[in-house]
Amino acid sequence: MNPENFGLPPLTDEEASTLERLVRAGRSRAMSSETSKRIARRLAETGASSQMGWKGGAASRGLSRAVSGAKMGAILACLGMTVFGWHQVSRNAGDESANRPALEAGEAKASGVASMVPSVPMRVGAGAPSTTTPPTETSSVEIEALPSIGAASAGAAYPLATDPVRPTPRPPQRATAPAAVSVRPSPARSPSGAAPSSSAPEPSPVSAAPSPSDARALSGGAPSSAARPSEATTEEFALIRRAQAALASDPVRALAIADEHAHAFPDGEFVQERELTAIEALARLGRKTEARRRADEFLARFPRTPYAGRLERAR
Amino acid sequence: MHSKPVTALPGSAESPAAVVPSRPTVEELFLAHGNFVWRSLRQLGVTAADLEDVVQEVFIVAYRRYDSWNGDAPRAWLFAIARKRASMYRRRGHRLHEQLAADELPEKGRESDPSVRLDLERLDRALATLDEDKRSVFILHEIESLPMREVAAAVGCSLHAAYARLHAARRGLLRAVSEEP
Repeated sequence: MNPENFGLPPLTDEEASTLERLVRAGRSRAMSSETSKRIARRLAETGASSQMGWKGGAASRGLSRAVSGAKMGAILACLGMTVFGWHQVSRNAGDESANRPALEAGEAKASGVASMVPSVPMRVGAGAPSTTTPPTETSSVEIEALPSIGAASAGAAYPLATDPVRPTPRPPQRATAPAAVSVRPSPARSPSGAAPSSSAPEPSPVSAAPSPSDARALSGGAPSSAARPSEATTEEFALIRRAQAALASDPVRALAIADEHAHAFPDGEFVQERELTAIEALARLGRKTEARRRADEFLARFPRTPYAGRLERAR
Repeated sequence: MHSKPVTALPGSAESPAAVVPSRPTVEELFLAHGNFVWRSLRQLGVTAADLEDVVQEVFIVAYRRYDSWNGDAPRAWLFAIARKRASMYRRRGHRLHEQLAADELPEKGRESDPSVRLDLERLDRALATLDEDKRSVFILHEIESLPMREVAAAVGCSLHAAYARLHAARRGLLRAVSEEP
């Protein structure tokens, strides 16, 4: 039997063309580059970045070196641009001075990293896919400056002001990439941090700067966008984001939100992210014993967690 | 630490450079398949206003579960996560972002074309009439061009059942479209 039609009448031409039209429309959907940048940045802030693994998880999990080389180069390039072109906007002078040592560490690191990048712009062409799937994905994500992932290694990856971590950057390689990634240098940003986006008043220039105080820009209640009804939702992931956003500027508050999450979603999807945030908050508050105990519990409960490296730093 | 056997991927044979066969990282997955996840979530019923958040959820879950992924069929794997998140999302019963400023439409490109936008609205309304299983098969095979074998694996059914769902999905969509005023 032909499995395709189950013996049913085939579609008429008109039906087929109707479907084709809808399908074509559906395929045309794509994120704007602003959106993909925002998401990439948020992923970095949340910690979903293999660069977290420079010190910890990813490297030991046998992740790609060569395949990610090209993209790593792109990311590092953008990190460099981020540092050169964008300026940290302080929204809280007090916190700023408190976080200054880490900020400097981050900047020093980032410039070192940037110096390893041979050329910008660079184009990482559509190389051999590193997956078993044929590269039918035609519309790869378009990211024009990748401030986000760059910020990951500098800011979110090293959230503890007391523990700036040396990176071990790999030299960029012209290796293959899993998809066509086109990276263009961003137009020069004004040093005052003029918003590059026409969309919601997101503090993107701020969070691009490599400092643990970045998160402060995202805190203050709203998860990260003034467009949303802040504090209006108890949705699980929103709580996690709020906790993470509060971490740098107000660890007490981050801890409180983490507790709120623990009560509302004891077995939620984002338990690990919640615990990680709580532990980092405890560490920031100098409550090292509690942080260590909670980190031990975390590791006992999730021995294969990808956040092991960050936990280690928070202990 | 925990050493893992590196998954040998057939695709690596095509690579001219001496590339260590490996799985893409989560960033690479996002760069390569972010739009796929974006489209899939939208077509699984996540509203435009909430899409960004849910895409982020998907990749965070992917990051956390990375070790349990065998490295095969990244889109099928991501789709399984996306489907679960979309299902949770629909069950929330409320939307995170009730409304969207007109100038903040997160979609782009051809969608600014009114006729494409109209088609998209029809597509979304029609997809919404399908159950999740049929909808998933239609999205993966028709819109995303995944081979049916991979589709069946992604939705966890036999190849035969996947074809049955595909056929039912096509009919269902056509019915929904034709019933529109």
